[in-house]
Amino acid sequence: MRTDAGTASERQRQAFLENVRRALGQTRSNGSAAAAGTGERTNARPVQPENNRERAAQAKSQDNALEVFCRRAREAGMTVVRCGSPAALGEEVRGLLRRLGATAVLLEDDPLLRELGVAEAARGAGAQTTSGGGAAAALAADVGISAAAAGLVETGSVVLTTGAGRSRLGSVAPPVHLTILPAARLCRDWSELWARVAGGPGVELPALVTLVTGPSKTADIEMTTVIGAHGPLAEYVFVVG
Amino acid sequence: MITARHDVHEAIRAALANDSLQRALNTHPLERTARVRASLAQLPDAPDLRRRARQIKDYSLAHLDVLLEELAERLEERGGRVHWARDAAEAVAIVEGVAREHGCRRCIKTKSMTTEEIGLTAALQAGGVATVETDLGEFILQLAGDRPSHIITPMIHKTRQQAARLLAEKLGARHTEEPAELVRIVRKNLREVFVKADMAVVGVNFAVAETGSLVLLTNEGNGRWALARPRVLAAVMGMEKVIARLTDLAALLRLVVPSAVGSALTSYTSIVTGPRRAGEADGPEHLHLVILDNGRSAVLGGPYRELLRCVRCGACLNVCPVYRKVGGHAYGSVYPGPIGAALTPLLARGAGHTGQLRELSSLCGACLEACPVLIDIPRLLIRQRGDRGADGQGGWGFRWAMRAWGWWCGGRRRYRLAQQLLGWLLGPAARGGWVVRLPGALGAWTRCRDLPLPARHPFRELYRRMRGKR
Repeated sequence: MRTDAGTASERQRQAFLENVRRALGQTRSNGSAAAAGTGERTNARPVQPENNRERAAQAKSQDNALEVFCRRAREAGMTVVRCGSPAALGEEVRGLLRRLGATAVLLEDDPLLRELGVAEAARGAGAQTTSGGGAAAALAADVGISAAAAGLVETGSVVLTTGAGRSRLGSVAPPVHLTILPAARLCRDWSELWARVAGGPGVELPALVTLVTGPSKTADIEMTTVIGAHGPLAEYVFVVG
Repeated sequence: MITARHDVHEAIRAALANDSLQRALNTHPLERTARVRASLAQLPDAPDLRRRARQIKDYSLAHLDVLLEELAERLEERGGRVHWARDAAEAVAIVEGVAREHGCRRCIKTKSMTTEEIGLTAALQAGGVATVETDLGEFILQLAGDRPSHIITPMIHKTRQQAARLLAEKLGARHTEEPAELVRIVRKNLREVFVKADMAVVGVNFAVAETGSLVLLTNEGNGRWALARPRVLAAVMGMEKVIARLTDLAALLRLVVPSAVGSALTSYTSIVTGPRRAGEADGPEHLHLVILDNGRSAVLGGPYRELLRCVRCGACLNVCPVYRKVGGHAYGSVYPGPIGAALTPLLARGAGHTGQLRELSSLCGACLEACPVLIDIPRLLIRQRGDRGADGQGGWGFRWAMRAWGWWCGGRRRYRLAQQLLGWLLGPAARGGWVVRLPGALGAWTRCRDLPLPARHPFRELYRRMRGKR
């Protein structure tokens, strides 16, 4: 039974690809299409141009990169707070949770959050904390807290990745989402980002990489932008270091 | 893919007579275009990027077989399953089979033009899988039994008042015309749907061959629910969405997202590489990818291949003077606007009214100027108009008339004579330089447009005079 299904889908794959090959073959022998620059099959892959000089200059020093990141993230509608030390971060976390009146907080089970004592800070604000938790915890949480795998300076995005101890819903279901981003994890451009999350070009990506660039929003009704569609109504980014 | 028995002229007349539609079309596309331009102006290297984006897509198309195989292999290594669908019926059957195999009853859908193309939602519903469109605009359209009329902003043709009435009527919601309140009503309503869903169907913006990844761009967050909550995920992609590498993805994202929505990135850029892995708290246990041909291989092998570069950003709709007058429904096809006019007749193989779509363009070139991957839609439409003699839609009389017309207009003196004759013949019928109605068979031309009188002093004459003066 299993093998039958296997060969049937293999036949489908072959037939599909054969059709594509035939289409490409026909075009290759068709002079006009090749002349239009679309038909030719070359081994030269599209070039990766030098990183734009202006952008490179913009993000020359790490300090500068941090400033650019904060500006772009704010432009995208996120609230960005710079924290000089883990202690300052704890203070900010307590302050935010108190202001929100948060009672249930879901944290990723992540070494960075443990190291920075984020759960303790949350409890210091009088909130119940859950670490790692499944769907029930995510749906009940007032605030979800994640550790960023990276930050992309060029777009002001925080980058979330999946893995053991992490809940995808934790950054989607709660009305407020907070990302903790160490400044050292900032990537100036996309190629740095791929190197950071994939461990090198084309090596291996986590099951899900999400670039978060602003709170959830929609402009479907008369193209009027409304903040807070199906995801978090507010996105906070606390940058440490 | 197309509306059955669609009468283009009837639909255009209805659109022009619809005041609220005209108001929406007069403002929203222009607002969006202004945002798009402002956002592209922030890219210091936009012209270079457009050339590079074109190159990336052309490379992908020329190597489509190799890249699709690579994509499938990588994704299957990561635990996904890949299905190959030659046409819409096969694709629908595959997704239905996925639902059956995993015993799914409640499906959430994200916005996807490809699933519109194959009519997936209706089929799943008919097969007993409760399927809910979760993009806000699509959700409201599903309540209304309506169809999207724009690639990015599906309910552009509906006013907030219409949305308010629908939500009040269908969901028993409090009547409010405040967009923020309306969004909150839908948010609340869909929460439970998200939580209870056991299957998600999503579209794919890009697929990266080297990593076996699927890329989804969303603003609302419904796509993130789809990737987080249900235990089964089915993604449907047109085969032309594959690109070679992650570095290509970066270049395309930098350009395509501003072109589509006027911001550097959408709120969420999700890159999916297989189902959930060991130790993860949530995410789909099963991931199925359906790769769809449905007429694309014929386009790939013909003179219109560059249409497959399209990334469905909708920029050409917003700038098109025809779209901004007649709206998306007038096209009677899933893909409206300039790209729809050029692509639909090819994908639908000239069925139904699609032979008329190539006429829904003023050939002004605004679509080419807005296109992030530089698809020369005007040139392709002109070529399609030229195909009319060849594809048997025009009889020998049509071909003969076109040949005669070409010969007559090919000579300067003959052309000038025709201008003078026309001016002389039409002069009495014109009001303020325009002929609004012509008698008899000629009336077909003026039924949908006015005819300007030839200039009294043509350009050649003015040019000669000005040169004489110098």
